[in-house]
Amino acid sequence: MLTYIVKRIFYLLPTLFLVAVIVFLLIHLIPGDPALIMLGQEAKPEAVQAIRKELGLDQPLPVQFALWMGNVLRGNFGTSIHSKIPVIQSIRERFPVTFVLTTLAVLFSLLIALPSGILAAVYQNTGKDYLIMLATVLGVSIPGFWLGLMGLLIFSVHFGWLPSTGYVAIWEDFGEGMKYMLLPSVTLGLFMAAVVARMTRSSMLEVFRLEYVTHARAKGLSEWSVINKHALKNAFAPTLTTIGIQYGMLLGGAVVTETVFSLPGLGKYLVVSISMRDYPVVQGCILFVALVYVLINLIVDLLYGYFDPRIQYQ
Amino acid sequence: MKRISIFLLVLLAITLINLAPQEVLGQSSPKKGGTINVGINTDVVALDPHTNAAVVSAIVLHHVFESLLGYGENLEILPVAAERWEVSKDFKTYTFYLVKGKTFHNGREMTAEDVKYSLERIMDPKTKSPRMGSFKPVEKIEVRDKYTVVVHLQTPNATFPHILADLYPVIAIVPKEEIEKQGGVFKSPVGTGPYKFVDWKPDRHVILERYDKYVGPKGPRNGIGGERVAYVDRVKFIPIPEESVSIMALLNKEIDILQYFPPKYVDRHKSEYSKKGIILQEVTGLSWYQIFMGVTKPVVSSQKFRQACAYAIDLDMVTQAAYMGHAKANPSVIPEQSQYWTPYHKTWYKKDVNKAKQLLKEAGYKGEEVILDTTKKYIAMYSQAVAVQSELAAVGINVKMNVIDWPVLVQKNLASDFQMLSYGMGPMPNPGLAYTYLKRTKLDQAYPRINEILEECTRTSDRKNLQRLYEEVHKIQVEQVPWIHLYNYNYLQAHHNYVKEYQAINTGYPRLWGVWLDK
Repeated sequence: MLTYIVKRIFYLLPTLFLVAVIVFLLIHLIPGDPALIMLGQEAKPEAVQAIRKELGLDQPLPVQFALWMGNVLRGNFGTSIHSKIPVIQSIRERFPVTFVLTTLAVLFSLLIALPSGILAAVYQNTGKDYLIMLATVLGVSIPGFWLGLMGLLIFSVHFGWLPSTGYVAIWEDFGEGMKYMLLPSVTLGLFMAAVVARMTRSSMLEVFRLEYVTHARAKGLSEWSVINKHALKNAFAPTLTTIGIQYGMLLGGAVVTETVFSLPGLGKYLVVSISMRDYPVVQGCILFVALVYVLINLIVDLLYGYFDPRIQYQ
Repeated sequence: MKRISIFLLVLLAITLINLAPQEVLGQSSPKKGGTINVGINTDVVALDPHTNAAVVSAIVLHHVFESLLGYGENLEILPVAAERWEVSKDFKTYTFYLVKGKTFHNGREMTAEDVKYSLERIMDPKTKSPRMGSFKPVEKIEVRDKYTVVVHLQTPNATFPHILADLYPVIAIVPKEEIEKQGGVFKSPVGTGPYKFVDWKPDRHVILERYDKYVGPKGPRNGIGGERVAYVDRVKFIPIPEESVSIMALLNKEIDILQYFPPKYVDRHKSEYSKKGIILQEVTGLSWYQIFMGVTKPVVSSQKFRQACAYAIDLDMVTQAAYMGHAKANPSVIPEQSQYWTPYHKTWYKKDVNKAKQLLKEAGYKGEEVILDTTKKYIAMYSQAVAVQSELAAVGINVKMNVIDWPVLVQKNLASDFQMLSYGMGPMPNPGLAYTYLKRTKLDQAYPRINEILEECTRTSDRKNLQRLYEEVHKIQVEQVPWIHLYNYNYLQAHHNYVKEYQAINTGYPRLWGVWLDK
């Protein structure tokens, strides 16, 4: 197992290198000059050239890439062209917000999705099943943007239960922090809940058809025991893969939720930095998100072994 | 006798009313205290006034820093950190007499040395200031005594005060020792303004606190000039990028003032929000929106083609489309409230489809595609482009919209790489500066007289003279149509009725001095 983990971490490096090359090329090749954005609309061409030189943007791309990678390997992700804040500092401040939002969204979605998926499978082709499936269709179809605004309108403006904007970290004040995180995490988690519920239902139905489940029922075990002790663990493995993929996607895709709810997360920061052509921020943040995504997939793969003992780690 | 008694009673009543405390009558006098929460539509970019030109940063930093001069409501230039100034007859020497006893937020008095340091910092290429180019005419800065600083220019420049009164960025007076302590760039700004910096949590808030030792200009509050009395204890700027959420935050009283009230909610304000104690202010702004024409580019290089476009476009319709009527159609770069505006600046083409078609025929236009660049980053630029496209299509001009992102649009504008470009600029009270943007259209290459006029503008401060020169530029603009100037949009700002003496100003900046809370 340890060998497997070390191997996977080792394989991480070429993946991250590839991500670094792609993001570097993409951000440098799209039109738009960060020096121009920095100086504003009244920029004089000679001032723009001076800034480009100062920032090293006049160097050939391979040289710029080598300098940047060299710094990254030394733990220096550079400094924002506009705010002059070190990229590492921004990641340190913002990633926890996105991570908490995403994790709460995942927890919420599992809370809804797993029981719903199991229920839909157990009551297949009945009213309960159709209702749950209709809810999942709505869950994947309704845009998160709209859902977030509706949630605010109802729970914040109409009832006054929750704030519409702002942020308090849950580790500074758990109660206050949860007030600010509740709506965003529900908004973000609903889509994932729909996907996971459908996946759980499919997996459970497949497992229900297996002989050992029929045997368990024939032995006279309660339905609860059949589902919980025998079926769920085997059905959960493919669902776990879906959860891992969704978690990674949410980490990168929380930008809409962060914008609607004015959360100081990494996703929104990344999108703003792209529009401002803040190269160090874009490169650093995407590399970091890629690292987190790969680590999440590693954890998912390791957990797979728990749910499916046939998996051997070599 | 009875009549005299009644008269005396009335007289007594009037006397008592005038002597009664304002509170008794339900009118409040300003009181100190409280925190004002201001919703802004995006976060500040950086905290150093010399290194970034973002309007939103200037909005906040105008409360922390002061420049020597500032604009009044009628775009007149007023003293701020300078008590008064003098200019030599040849417009080459400017002498500024500083306000005495003005201190930085670290307690040290501001002196002429600080002014010299600050201006030289802007001029230093190492600072990478967006305004470095504006200070090119400066030959040297001399400290005459503790409170007097003299700026010597290489060439005469009557518009130099405009450079010092710039709206964004703030041409701030800063303390050298604080910059050096903070590694050469402000992370915790220290200025001379009525509010001092407390905290910036990116994408969460900027907090300022009243500076009790503030010494400011005299005279009634007037734009960026005049007295600056800070009544509230704290000001908190909260970025809320999503429009609907900003309205919700206002309704919930999570914010007290909303800097940018979306035009599409104005009717809702009339029917609903006003009943909840929300006051909406609307003031004609200085930001100007236009369609640039690339006069050296194919098709658009024809003067008759450009004149046909001008005949085809109904400015009022485009204004309505772009800003739902909350803008003022204006064919000139000079806003009506400017002291340099004259009725001649109303001269423009009245929509005439037949004339447009006739001119297109004379221009030999055969339906070639013309690209109109725009962006959705600022939705008005996109909306006006759509409206203009439909107006031009009605006379047979084949316009294709090219929607690109903001950095690319700015780049195209700077490089004059466009046939038509839908654009907008922030407030530019100095028409001479605004007219320099004609160079983006390359009209000055065909019409060097424009450069001569703009050069002449820098050598006179006489209003009548400047009005004459600007009229001449406008005449060229009318004949040549290097751009179609569309409108100045109105600033819509909303606040709760317990926020007293808040006044929206024509720069769109929320101004938090002279404002107090009655709750």
